[in-house]
Amino acid sequence: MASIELHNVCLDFPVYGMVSRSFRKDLIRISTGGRWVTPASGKIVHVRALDKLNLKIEHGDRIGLIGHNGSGKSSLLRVLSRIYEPTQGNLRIEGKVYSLLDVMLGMDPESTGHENIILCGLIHGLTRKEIRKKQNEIAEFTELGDYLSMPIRTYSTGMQVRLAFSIATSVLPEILILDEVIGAGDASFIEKARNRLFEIMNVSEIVLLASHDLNILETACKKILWLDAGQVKLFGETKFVLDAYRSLNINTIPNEVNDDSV
Amino acid sequence: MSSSLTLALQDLWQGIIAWRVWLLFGWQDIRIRYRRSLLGPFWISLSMAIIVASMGFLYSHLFKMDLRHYLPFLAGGMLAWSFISTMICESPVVFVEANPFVKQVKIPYSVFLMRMITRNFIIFLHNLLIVVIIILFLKVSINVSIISILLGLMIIMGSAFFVGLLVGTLNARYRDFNPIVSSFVQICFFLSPIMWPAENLPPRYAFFVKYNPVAQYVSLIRDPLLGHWPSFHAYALTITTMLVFAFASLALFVRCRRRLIFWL
Repeated sequence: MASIELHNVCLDFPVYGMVSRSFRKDLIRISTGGRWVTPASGKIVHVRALDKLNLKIEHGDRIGLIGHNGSGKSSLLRVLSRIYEPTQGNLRIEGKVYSLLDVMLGMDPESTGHENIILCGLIHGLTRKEIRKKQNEIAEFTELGDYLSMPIRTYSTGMQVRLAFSIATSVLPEILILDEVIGAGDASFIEKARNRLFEIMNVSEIVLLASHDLNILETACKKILWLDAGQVKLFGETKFVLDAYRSLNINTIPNEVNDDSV
Repeated sequence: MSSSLTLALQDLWQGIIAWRVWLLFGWQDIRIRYRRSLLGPFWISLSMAIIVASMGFLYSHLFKMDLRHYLPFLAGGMLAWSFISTMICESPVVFVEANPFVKQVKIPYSVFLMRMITRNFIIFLHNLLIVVIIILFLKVSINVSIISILLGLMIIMGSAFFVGLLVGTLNARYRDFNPIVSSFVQICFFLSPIMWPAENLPPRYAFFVKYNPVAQYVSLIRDPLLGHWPSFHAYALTITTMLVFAFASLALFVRCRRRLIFWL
């Protein structure tokens, strides 16, 4: 039984580049009697992406994730994919996770589509034999045909989406995490992807899907998690949360326009 | 809650046992580099042959050495040096280049160290071909000491793993390590007995070779190819160096592993 539990999870990002990422500056600090370790509150700017998040996701949940840009959607999905480890708090995940966060990431641009299918499969712990079994099915679903023998750097964004999505959904993970990926294909593929997604959602025990497309969320998800400034703003039944989200957005959009014009 | 030490060791171990992934990665790196070329990876062998042939001719006259003796010496030394130096040079970027993967899936960092070692080992094998041809052609007397090359390779690759872990982590945070390392490696080449035989050095400066880890690492590969066992001293110095790097890199990795992802 797959389940996810977050208890007071915080995630702080160090942001470099604001202060030069140079050894020289730290060296100078040492020679002037400073400390080697930069105090967290000192020179490096930290951004709190997730702020004391408490969340319980159970077997069978299909959760849509909404929120403004920078509200912590992607950070949360990366924490759940175990890519980022929380700065504070406890995280318990039971079940095998497959995450599709950014279409090009996790693929080698110089390798062909076929090679990337193998590579992705191996990275996700499949054996060669298991991959070979799935390879035809994946290739068929992408509808990319001979393009699969070309390096994927030559693909259009839509074609990359087709490939990445086909691979991700062929693994049949217990927990599936998707971040804004279906949007990019052409209309016929979006339709196909949507159907595939519904199929998978029936097989996967937990699905988390972040999207700005409220229509997809409405049809695909039972619950919606609304994040705001790294905190849960609202978590509940799809219709209830989306209504609140829509009404808030309708109210705030004119204000934002006014702000811009000032 | 697991401690950061266990988590760090887990990462290293899980990466090492994911051999399917890093073998594919390493092999793919080579294939992609030579895709659409006629000779393919045998360009590696060919360029090695050209370097050794041209340098061998010139420098054997410069050092007034018999080409029959100098050529195998130079070829063995260049074989070991190019293996060692390329791994050191690629160390700073092992994690930086892994960026597209580690931000998408949970994948142990050590996979990328093993990838770098695999890739260079494949290159090593292509270079070895040239050295074997030279050895056969010049009838260098090889004996049972040749098996020590396996131990030498293990020490070199083990050291490369820890050097990569140390420098790769440091360079993720401070991108200055890339230029630092490449200029360091360049200096090492000229200060180590690869082109020049150690015997040419006045005895009172012999310590310079004796305590130079690079010279001793090179001898682990070169000596067996010339028909003698590497010295006990060579093993002692290289294994000590490896342990020092193992300790330093683990100390750093245990502390920084959690934050490493934010640095990439």
